[in-house]
Amino acid sequence: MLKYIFFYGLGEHALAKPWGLAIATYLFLGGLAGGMFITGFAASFYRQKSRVFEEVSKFGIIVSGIVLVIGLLSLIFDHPNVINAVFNPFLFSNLGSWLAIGSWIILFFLILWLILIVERLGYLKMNSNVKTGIMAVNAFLAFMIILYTALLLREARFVPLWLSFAIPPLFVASGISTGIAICVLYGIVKERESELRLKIADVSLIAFEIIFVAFLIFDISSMAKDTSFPFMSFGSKFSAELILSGTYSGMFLYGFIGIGLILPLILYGLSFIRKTVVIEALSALSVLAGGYLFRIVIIAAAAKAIVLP
Amino acid sequence: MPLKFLMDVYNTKCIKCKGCEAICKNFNEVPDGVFRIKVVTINEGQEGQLNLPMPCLHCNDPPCLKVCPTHAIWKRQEDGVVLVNKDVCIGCGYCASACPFGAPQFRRSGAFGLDGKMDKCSFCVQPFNPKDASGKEIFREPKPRCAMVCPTQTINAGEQAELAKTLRERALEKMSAGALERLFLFF
Repeated sequence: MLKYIFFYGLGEHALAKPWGLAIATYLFLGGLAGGMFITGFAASFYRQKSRVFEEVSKFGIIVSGIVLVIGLLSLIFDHPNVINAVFNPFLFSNLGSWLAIGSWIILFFLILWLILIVERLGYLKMNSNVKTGIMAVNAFLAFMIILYTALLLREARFVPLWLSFAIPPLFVASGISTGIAICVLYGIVKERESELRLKIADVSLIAFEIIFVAFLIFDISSMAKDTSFPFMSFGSKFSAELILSGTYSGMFLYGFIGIGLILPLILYGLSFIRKTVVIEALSALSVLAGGYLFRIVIIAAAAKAIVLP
Repeated sequence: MPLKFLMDVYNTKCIKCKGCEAICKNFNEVPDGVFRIKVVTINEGQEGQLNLPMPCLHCNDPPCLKVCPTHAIWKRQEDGVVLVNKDVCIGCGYCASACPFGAPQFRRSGAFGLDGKMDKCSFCVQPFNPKDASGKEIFREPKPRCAMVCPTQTINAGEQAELAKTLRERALEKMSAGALERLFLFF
């Protein structure tokens, strides 16, 4: 009888979730900010070679912090009491929790980012090697912010969708890819042209994402079948249904995979054949839309495993 | 002496009277929209339908405690009851994602969505070994109100070892009764 129950579940109760659109926005903007800083840092090595790289470098580094702060505001908008931790970061005392670790990473990132902004405004003189060093450390922190948005979800051990091994690489690739996309878009708006290296990097990341999306679908479908952990099967089955044929299937299949991965791949491919800024801008926009839809689906379709008392 | 809730899932006697929800709300003055205990129905309208009261089960190794970024969730050493320190809780909702039973509750209101700090079953907590004015220890039966009012004894609460023994006996009774029925059917 218990086995029978395990495969059905607790109905609506299992889906009672405290996280919604605001958290998806926070995860997206966190990943985007990290991606922007990494792109800006990487572009800074080529800034002597072209105006686009110079502009992208400035944009990526300066705006990444602002995007991250907007993400944090989205979190606070949904969970107003989090403001207490903004005034007193030492509340984040449990360093075994990824939420606390991530908050400290964000804090250190924002401090270093502020130092870089102050230097850029001319209020602080800094040796170029020191500046590159700070940027390198911050690029690592930016990478950790993107990774943290995935590991944060993986720590919830009873949500099979979040437990998939595909989630961290997907979040990292999607975060950097959206960062590159917004930088490509800015380059197009500002300089009316884009850089081939950025496009190749974005295309490679999109290809990498497609592989891991396939792995995610395979992983969640195999978890949905009889496993040695029957209590996980219900949640996996429900999540698989939600993203493949249920409420969020349109958002996942047409939105994320269609608009966010396949369309930009085709558009970037077209732009290699015939260089048109409109096509490049469209592909960058579709990457951004896809990245956001991906976070929404991952949060919305997170059905819990059924563990009976 | 770890105190626990143990649900008698095997005997499935819950009639969904919701007496547990009502007394919990009244006794603990639980705000609207928050359920420290909630009766859920599994397989509604199907074979194997099961009503199940779901409070916090005060796990031995609580996943909510592990993920809480501010150490707001803590386990009382003396009796193993899992409690929340609302002065430190920042209402991030991470515990609710980690708990498989949906025990951490957050009041939803207004345009801002989640409003407030985490609320959960406190096992109708009282100070451990409370003392009266003269310093004499007051005996308190380690039983929350929902377990006291449950008419079908689906909710069982108290000392872990004793509860496990009771439930094991009940399960054995049912199993042996089934065996006898099957024996008659066979003949």
